[in-house]
Amino acid sequence: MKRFGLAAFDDQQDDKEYEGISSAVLQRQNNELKEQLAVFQERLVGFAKKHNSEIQANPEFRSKFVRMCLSIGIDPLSLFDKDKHLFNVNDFYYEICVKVIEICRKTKDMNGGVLSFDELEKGYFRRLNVDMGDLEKSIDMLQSLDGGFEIFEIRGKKFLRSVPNELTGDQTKILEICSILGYSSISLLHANLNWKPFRSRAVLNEMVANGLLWIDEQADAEALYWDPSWINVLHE
Amino acid sequence: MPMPLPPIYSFPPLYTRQPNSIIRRQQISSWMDLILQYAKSHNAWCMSAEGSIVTEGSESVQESIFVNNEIERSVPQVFINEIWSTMCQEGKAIGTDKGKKESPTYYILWRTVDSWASLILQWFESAGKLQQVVTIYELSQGDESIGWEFHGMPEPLTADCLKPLCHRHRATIVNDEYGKPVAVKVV
Repeated sequence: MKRFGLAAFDDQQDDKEYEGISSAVLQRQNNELKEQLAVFQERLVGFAKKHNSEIQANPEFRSKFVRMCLSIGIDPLSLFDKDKHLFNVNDFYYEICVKVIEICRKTKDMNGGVLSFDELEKGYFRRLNVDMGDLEKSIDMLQSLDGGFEIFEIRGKKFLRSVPNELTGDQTKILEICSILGYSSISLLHANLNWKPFRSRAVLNEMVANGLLWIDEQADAEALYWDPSWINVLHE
Repeated sequence: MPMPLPPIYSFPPLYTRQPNSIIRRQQISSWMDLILQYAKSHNAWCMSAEGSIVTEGSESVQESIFVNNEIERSVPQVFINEIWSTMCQEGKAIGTDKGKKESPTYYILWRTVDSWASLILQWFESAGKLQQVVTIYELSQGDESIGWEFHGMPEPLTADCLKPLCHRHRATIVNDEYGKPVAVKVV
């Protein structure tokens, strides 16, 4: 039956058809846009490679270029090519520095501001093609920020501290014990360092208050104090 | 296939309430993420206050998310209640027993109520159900919503998720003689 006027649009069947058509159109537009964006990103990388020397020579051009990359979703780190010296090499390290600071800020509430280099490299930088050497060089540069960041070593492993309070000798020794089993305790400290229980308890509780250690009260004999960097180690 | 829980689930101190309040906030938010992920991957809408999945009709005793036998740790009930109340405050869970502060069971919202509301609205639009009265049973359990993420949602929770649409004057809820929502009309 043919209907006229507004009534002609009342038909359920038609509604469904229009729905189908409109979603198909939207889908197609979506795909086209995605394709265009991919092509554009590819061209941009090509452009960066070709006009490498100009980008290097002109800082204003460079900063505008990097901003443009960011706004269409290209991580500037992925544009850098160490061997071909795309941009200034130092820019590559500055970019890593920024990432490191971001990560430190993000994880501070979890680990009290102490992060191992291993965790940084495995957790964040491996997929960006940044190796340990690059990371160490960048973090060296961070030290010129005067006191905000410090590198220290525990049993040959490097750690980065991003909170301004310095670790005391006692705290460092406890972290050293933690780096073996993941935790320390009053009796472990007594057995290894011959500390008196009240000394151990004071330092351990202070470290829990600072967020450097997490307390575990459900172990068999005594409370254990865990290093939060073991969260990611336990599953490996 | 349920996804394995992230490594922090095997970290023994996660089961002890941390005294440092900043760390504890982080600890509670880790628990909230774990619960949301657990519920989503098991397709569970409702969990008991003790942390096990509640499915309608069956009273089977299941393992609780707050008990980790592998490392022999469990969260004390007092701390569990703190986690639930934070979840309710942040809109990631709703107590099924309204009015009471500590409910025996909780609905888990791995999407926010607003996000469920707009998903349901999408269904109404794409299924051509506007301007019709649809029962809440039909909406959440009926064949026509199979394949949508809200399919299988308990009816009282579905009614809660329709409320934002009522506030926007897009929906009207029809109640039965006891005041229980039974159907909805979306315009």
